[in-house]
Amino acid sequence: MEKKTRLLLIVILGLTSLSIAALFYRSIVLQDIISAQEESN
Amino acid sequence: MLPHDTLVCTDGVGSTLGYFDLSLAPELLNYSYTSIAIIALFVGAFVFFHSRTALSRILFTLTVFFALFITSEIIQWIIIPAGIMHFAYSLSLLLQTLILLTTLYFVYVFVHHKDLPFSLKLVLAGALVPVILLLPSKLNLEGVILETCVGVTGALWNYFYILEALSALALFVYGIVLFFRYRREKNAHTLASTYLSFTSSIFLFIFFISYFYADQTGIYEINLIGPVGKLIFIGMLAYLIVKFKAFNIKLIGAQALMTALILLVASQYFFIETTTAFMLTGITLALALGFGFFLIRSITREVEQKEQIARLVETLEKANARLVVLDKMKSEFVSITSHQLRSPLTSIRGYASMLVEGSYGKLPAKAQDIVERIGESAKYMALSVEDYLNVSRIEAGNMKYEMTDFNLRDLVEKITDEMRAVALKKGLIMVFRSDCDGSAMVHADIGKTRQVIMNLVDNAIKYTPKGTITVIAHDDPKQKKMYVTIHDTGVGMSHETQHEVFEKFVRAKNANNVNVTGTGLGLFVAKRMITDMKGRVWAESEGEGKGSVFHIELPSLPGKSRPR
Repeated sequence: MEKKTRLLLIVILGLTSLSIAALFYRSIVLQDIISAQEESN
Repeated sequence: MLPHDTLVCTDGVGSTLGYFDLSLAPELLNYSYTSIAIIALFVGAFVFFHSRTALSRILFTLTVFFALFITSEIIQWIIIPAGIMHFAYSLSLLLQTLILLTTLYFVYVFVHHKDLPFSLKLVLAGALVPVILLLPSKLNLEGVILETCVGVTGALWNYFYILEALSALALFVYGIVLFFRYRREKNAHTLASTYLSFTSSIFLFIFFISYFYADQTGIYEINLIGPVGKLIFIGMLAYLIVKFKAFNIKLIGAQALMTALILLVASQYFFIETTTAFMLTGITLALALGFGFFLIRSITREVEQKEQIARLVETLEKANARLVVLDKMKSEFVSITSHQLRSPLTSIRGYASMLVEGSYGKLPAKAQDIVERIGESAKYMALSVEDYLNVSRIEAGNMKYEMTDFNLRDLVEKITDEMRAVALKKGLIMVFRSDCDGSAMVHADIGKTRQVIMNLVDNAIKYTPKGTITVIAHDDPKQKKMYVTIHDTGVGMSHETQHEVFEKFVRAKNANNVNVTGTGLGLFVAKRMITDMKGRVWAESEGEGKGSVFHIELPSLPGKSRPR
């Protein structure tokens, strides 16, 4: 694999990991999932 | 049990450890989704482990994304805690985007036989970045309706749907372009690429429609058709890889598909409730096992045969290439050696002739005989050298012909007269006959024609211990052909030898009994010369000991025979 591609892959994987971690925190830990129905109520 | 502060979807009862409620999912889900994910992974892994190409790596990656996506879908259907539902739902957008981009990547590499250029990799990564960055945001998933456990999607999903629809459209247009290219080039790979583009386009379109529709209407059951299309697509990708790569993958692929099929049929036992269904599934399973066994056995045989043929072809090609090189080297060697032999031989013949003629005084009778033999041997050697030189000229394509019009009948008569003395010396009768209605004129190289006729007459004398040699010049003005036929009452030859005798270094089996000096090249050279002058030469014999007939045919020129 060429160097540029490897770098691009590392950046993408890094961003993805951070993003998934943030999502996990929001969904499971914070449970920031206020029901749309609740919100409309 | 769930922690007490966990938000849960209120439509489920949490039958398994409080986390899952299998009754929430449509019946088809567990059966189809799980099997599809397993089959996809199975096919991808098999191809990957047995053909380490860029294509198989991409296919494997695609199947992994697909299996993860299916898992997230199953979780969304049966999970009770809303947090996990939210996580799985949010993540499925990323997985769908990855599946889309990997599919595009696969199509490019398949069609172009090379990796994606870095600029295009940047474009794909660029398309992925908004999804990654906005993954945890409300633009992805606004929330989950706890009462129905349904996610409310954000604007990011529209971005994905547009991307998916545009990709499907682009692949469809590309498929049309490839189809026209195939009609022009008739290339198997272009046809395969056309199939791939259309199938990818259709699969993306099915995916797009099923998920977009479900999103808009809330009827999520339609999602179930998406993965089925995907499975067909993965199956086709695997088939294409197998078809265009090594044979043994074909076998592995068949085994993988058969195993998957059997697992699929066997998995029905988890859902069967009636005895009839139980028996029917049993029969289906037995049939699948039986057919699978015969299919794999026949493919194994085919693969073994093909591999053997491929190995033999490779060996043969190598040997052939080596032979061509050796043949060229041999011709060069013969050419150089013959040239170097010819000069001293000319001197030997010249001095031997002068000694015999008494140019250096009268020789004693014994010496006279010996010098005559030296002259004769040098003459035969010179003729052999001339044959070798002719062969090397023919093989190098350097044989030159000076074509002129001349009377073949006269030439044949002259040669017969010249050779009669040699025949008489051996106690043979030599007869010349002419039966020409036309002009007897031909357009050929007179020197080469003379050489060929001399060679055939000389052979007739050499291989005829006793009897008559008849040389006939005749023609067929209607066919515009002129013939020279040389009959002898000599050793003859078998039916097989008549065809082989014009090949290089081939001599009749009984030839050595009467003459040991032949090189086996004279007739090969004669045939090449006559063929190059648009004529034919062939031999006939009724068998060994029954004499031979050699024919020469040349195209004749029009005109009347002159009175003699």
